[in-house]
Amino acid sequence: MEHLLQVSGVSVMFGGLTALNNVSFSVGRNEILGIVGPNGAGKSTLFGVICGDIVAKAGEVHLNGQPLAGRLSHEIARLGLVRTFQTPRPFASMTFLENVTIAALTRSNDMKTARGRGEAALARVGLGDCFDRPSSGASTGQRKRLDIARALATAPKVLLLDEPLGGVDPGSIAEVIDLLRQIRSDGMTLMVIEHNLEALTGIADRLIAMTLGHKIADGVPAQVMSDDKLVRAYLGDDDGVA
Amino acid sequence: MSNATTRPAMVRLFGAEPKRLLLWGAVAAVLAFLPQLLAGRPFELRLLTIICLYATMGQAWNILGGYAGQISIGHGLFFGLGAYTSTIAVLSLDLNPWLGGLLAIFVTAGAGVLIGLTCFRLRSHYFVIATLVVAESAFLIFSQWSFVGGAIGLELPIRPSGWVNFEFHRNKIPYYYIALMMLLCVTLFVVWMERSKIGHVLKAIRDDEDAARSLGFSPLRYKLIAMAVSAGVLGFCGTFYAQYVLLVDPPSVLAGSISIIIALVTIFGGIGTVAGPIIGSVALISLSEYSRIYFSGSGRNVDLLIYGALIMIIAAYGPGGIISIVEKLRRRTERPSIDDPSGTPRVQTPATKAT
Repeated sequence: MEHLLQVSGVSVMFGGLTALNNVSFSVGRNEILGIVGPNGAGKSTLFGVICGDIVAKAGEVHLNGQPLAGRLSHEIARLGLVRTFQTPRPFASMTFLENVTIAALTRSNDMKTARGRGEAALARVGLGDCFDRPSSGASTGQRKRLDIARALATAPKVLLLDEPLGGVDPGSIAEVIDLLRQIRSDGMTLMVIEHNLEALTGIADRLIAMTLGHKIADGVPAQVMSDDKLVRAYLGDDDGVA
Repeated sequence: MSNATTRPAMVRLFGAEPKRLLLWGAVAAVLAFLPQLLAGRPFELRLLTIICLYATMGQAWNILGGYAGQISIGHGLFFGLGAYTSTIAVLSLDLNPWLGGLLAIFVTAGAGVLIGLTCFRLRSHYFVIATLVVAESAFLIFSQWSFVGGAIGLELPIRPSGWVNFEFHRNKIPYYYIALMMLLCVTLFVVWMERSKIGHVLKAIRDDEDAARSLGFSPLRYKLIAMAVSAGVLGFCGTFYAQYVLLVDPPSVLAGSISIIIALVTIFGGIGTVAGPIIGSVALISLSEYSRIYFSGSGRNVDLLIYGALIMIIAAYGPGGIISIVEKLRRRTERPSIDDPSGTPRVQTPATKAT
């Protein structure tokens, strides 16, 4: 499989704390890569490094063979690498449609075109009836979808989703999973951090397991989920990190 | 042919309906003929001129403070810098004051970018403090700097009255028209900006800078644009004031109180709105000028006491300014109609409000 995103030997230190330790992996074009691990494993930090929000102490990230080192986060987003946040961050003074229209303005200077793209993105995530509703009144599940719609409106190549199912009501989880499948079928590459392991293993082509800043497993979901190191990372034991 | 292309250009640009345009036309006509009605009343004419001046400065401040969310309490610096730039250009280079004003726009916009490059590294209250420090430093420097006249300041030469010289001695009405034109131009710019890409991105940055950045926008770039435009407008306002009073010294153009009033008229009227700075300027400048007249002598600074009381009232009952209070009252008065069986209020709720 052709590698679209390459992460090589990335390490991040926060003071004396090692948040990421020599993490390497690659993501194939049109692949869904799941990232699992307990809280504090370094998953969101990894997203931060890939998106340029956090500067790595060591290591490199390449998108389509192009090094991302030294690029600012908005420049990386313009290259087509866009993220959502663990806690959704809508533009609170705006409506759903305004939120997404702004994202579409990264690809078009024409307001009418951007608005059209915004409407399409909202309809795609199942928020077609919320165009003119203020985003400040949205439920957590709606905010998560709005975050995804906003990212989609930028027409990304790689979409990094940080817990897209967090806060989504159980009845809507299947819809979000279907949505992620559709996004992939449109040719997009996805990296997904998720604690709902059952849902993630259902859609991911490959999983990476992390704990305490280390990558402890990398492979197809069934293989990673049965890995003793991952079980120990979640349930704990006296042996410490692998 | 699409609907958009058949509509008049003004309607396409500002999204306003003909009825609303007619209303604005009537307001413009009244403002244009107001000086004729106030013939022989110099105080009122001066008041109108100063209201237009502060409304213009409030609009300019609003671009950075209201739309981009970068609250500056040192914006008076650009007003003073503009006044000094054109005055020095007139005195040292014998430049026409209008060209001096043009130069002031570029100098203050450039200064805004330089200050922004350093101050935009800071966020929220740290940014506010930084703007205050920069403005206060400028006041101290200009007070000591002999090239700009130090504490004594600079006097502009008296030249024959006329539009070319930007000086009107007996009849001050042209100053009012210039101030009104400045306000009109800046207001039209803000109306356009609100509907444009840059206006939307500035609002996104105001709401959540990191989220805007994650989508691919450079907050620094957009904030610098906002700062440059805002500072440039204030620079020309400074030139206008210098030509109006023909004297430039630190207390009259660089005082901290100028920065405070520029921010206050906008916050008081309605921050992040087009009408806010105009409403705020009409209310606060009128209040200030009339209280100065009626409470002069022993009652000095009464206007400041009234300012304080009003700010407290606004903070308590309508943090969004007068506009938000009016909106709140309007919603309260629009009760459900008795012939509406659903009992649904006819007022447009935020949920149904069109973008």
